[in-house]
Amino acid sequence: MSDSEPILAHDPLADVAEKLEHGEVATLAQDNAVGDADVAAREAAETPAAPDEDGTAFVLPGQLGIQDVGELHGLLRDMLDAGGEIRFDASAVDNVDGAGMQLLAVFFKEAVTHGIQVEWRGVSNTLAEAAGVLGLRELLNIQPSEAEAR
Amino acid sequence: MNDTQLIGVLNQKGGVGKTTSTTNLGHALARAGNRVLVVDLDPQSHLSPSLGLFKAPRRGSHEWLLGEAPLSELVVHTRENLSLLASGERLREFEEMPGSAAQRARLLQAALQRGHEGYDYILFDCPPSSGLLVANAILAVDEILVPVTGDYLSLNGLAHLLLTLKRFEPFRDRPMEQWFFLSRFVARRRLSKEVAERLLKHFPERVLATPIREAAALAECPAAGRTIFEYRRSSNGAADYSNLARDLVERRMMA
Repeated sequence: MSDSEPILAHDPLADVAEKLEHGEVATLAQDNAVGDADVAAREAAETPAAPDEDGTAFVLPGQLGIQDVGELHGLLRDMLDAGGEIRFDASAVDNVDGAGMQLLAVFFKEAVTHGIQVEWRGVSNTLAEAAGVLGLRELLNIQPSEAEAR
Repeated sequence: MNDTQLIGVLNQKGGVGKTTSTTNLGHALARAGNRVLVVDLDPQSHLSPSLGLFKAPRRGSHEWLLGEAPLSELVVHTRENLSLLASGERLREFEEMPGSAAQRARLLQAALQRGHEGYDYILFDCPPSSGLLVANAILAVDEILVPVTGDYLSLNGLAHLLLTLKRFEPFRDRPMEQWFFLSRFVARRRLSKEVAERLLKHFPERVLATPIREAAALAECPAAGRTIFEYRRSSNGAADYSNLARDLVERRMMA
């Protein structure tokens, strides 16, 4: 890179300006999301399998399998780099395999190393049970599912 | 009540100087003779030690938001003209409370309507997230003040924040002023200059005139429990925050 070449190869503010100009940002009202609806849940639902607006809360996809972990890994890595407090919403996870669990386990270990606090906003029974079977509850800070608790 | 300026110090990226700015900007405004309340809406509770309360008050924002105690019972007077509403031990529970999020997002509005007389400025130190605490701030304040550091991720965080603000726009009952300022700024870095240029390009007349220069003294202040005006009165940091307070009051913008 030469000294005269800009360092910034991408301008995220220009992306936002373009979205706003073209009306591509759905407001909560346009999406009929307010009223009795749950604002936070709606926000989360709008961005499945992706960081939400601040990049520190994350809605996990319904499928957490070997075919999904590649893309997920990159996104989780970005979250670790961004730092701050991280929250997961895993209430929609209804299918998880060993690769998915391994990805979560590595992520939590990395978070501890980076001094980053990770919290769950919601955990599906599927994920809770998988964590129990694999002995990962303590590492992932996941409580037994309601069915297991009974 | 309407004379009080309600300002959210907000950026969904962590480490950009929200708490440092709430503390020192609050004290700068107080030193200029304004009656100032700083409110900790971040469950990390960093505002209390920043003002010298190393044993943070047990009760605070959480109790105020839920109407469990009036503001006057919860506020701590920390300096002349400068009061603190700490986060309180239970603020972490706020995001997990049962009930409609749409209703919980308006609890700050309701708390303010119960009374906040006597202050010229109330600064809300917001958490680096997009949860309900931030939603409460977005729906209640008159203005937001966004610190932006001279790096790409900070611009990225700002872009996410702008989208969040847009989504909440229909639910505000009045327009929201948006002000930006450069934080932890290192003038000699090319990237810092590029970020400043982009900010000015996208938000002309919205970037406050004074950049807050990166300074070790500002990072040391919380450890001493002092603001920059007490810790290093003649430092660059003290001068910068004093000027930034004037920028905010007099609407002085970066050219």
